Amino acid sequence: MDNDISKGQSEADIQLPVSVVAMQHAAKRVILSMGGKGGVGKTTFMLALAEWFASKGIMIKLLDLDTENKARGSLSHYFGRAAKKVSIHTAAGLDSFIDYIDDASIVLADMGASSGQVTYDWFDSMFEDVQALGVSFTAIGIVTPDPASVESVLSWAARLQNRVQYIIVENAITYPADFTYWRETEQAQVFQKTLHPVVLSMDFRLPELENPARQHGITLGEIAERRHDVDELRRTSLVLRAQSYRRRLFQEIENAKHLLLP
Amino acid sequence: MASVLISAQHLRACDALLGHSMDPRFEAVLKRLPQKRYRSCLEPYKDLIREMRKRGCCYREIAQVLHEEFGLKVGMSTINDFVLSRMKSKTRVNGNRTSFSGTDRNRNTRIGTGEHHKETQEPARHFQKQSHSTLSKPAPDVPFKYNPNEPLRILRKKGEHDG
Repeated sequence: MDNDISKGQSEADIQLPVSVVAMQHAAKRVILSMGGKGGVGKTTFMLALAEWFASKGIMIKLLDLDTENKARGSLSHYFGRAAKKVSIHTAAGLDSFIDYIDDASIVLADMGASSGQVTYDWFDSMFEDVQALGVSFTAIGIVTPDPASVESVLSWAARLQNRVQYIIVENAITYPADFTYWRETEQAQVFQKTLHPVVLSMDFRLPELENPARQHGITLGEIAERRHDVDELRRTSLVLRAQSYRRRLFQEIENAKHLLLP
Repeated sequence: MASVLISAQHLRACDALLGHSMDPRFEAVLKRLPQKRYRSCLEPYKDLIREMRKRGCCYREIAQVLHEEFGLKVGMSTINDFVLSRMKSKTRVNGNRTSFSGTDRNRNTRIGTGEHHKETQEPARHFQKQSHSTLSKPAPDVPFKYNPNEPLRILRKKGEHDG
């Protein structure tokens, strides 16, 4: 399919048909995942987001800034060269936000678990100038039942403050999921009242779907539409599960689209 | 008993002469005690940590090196606390703050002679720049405050009481 975000694409950009959503040329947006706690599902959500943009026909630029995820599990593992891998641990690592914003109005940047200080420093030094170019920022934080994931999000928010808009994803990595530390702690509630994040939910996913998908670098959309050759992911029940997960996730993302479009 | 009284009188006389307020017997006991200043398990690795920080390594990478190379298993937060405590414990000498990122030799030079060679000032600048960005530089507008050193406090629901 021509409009897929497919592996091994020769161009670094994701070339998609004309946008179905009118975009202002002057306005641009950088969407970055808040690093910090590893293994909470940052890349999983960013993958879903990339597929959501593709489903809308919106051209985006994918940046894989997750140097912790060396091989499997990074955006590059799923999208090949379509995701530009950049090392942020250089003097101007995050200037890639600016360098690639001309390629597409939206940059989707998947940050690594150790990217906090680099990001804070970059915002402290560059934010005002980049904002003057018409670039706005959306930070995506993932919380799980693990309190460390909540602490990580709050730490990032305390440094980024209102220079970004926030989307917080409640990722049910266990079943049932208990989000007490996100929903019922004083600090998290102060964050919600002060910086007004849009809160989305991500369903618990069956390991028999999630694990082989991660192993082979297959996205939810590819499973849902049987666009892969991994036998264990072709079971009808898993295909239906993938369709169901994707549908609900896209519905959630729709609720935050005002923070995702320029 | 008599010997005790004599001793006490003697000690009081010594106190008066020396202007001490503490009982010398206590002082003697204190002198015998070893210096029990808290020392971090990271103390032997301070030079390595300092160099790795100067080279831009994150705490995760430092923890990984300590574990893989020296079998020392420490968390990133431990390293963070160590680095921060090192920063805080330094004193200002001649108006310049000494640096965790400077070597002991350099530090002695500065403290002892007040000399400020270019190579010894460089780490101090590095430190000041780093500490400025990591510790004291606030975002332009700070509507949300969060102290990562405090545990998350679960709010009590209505109807819940102590006990």
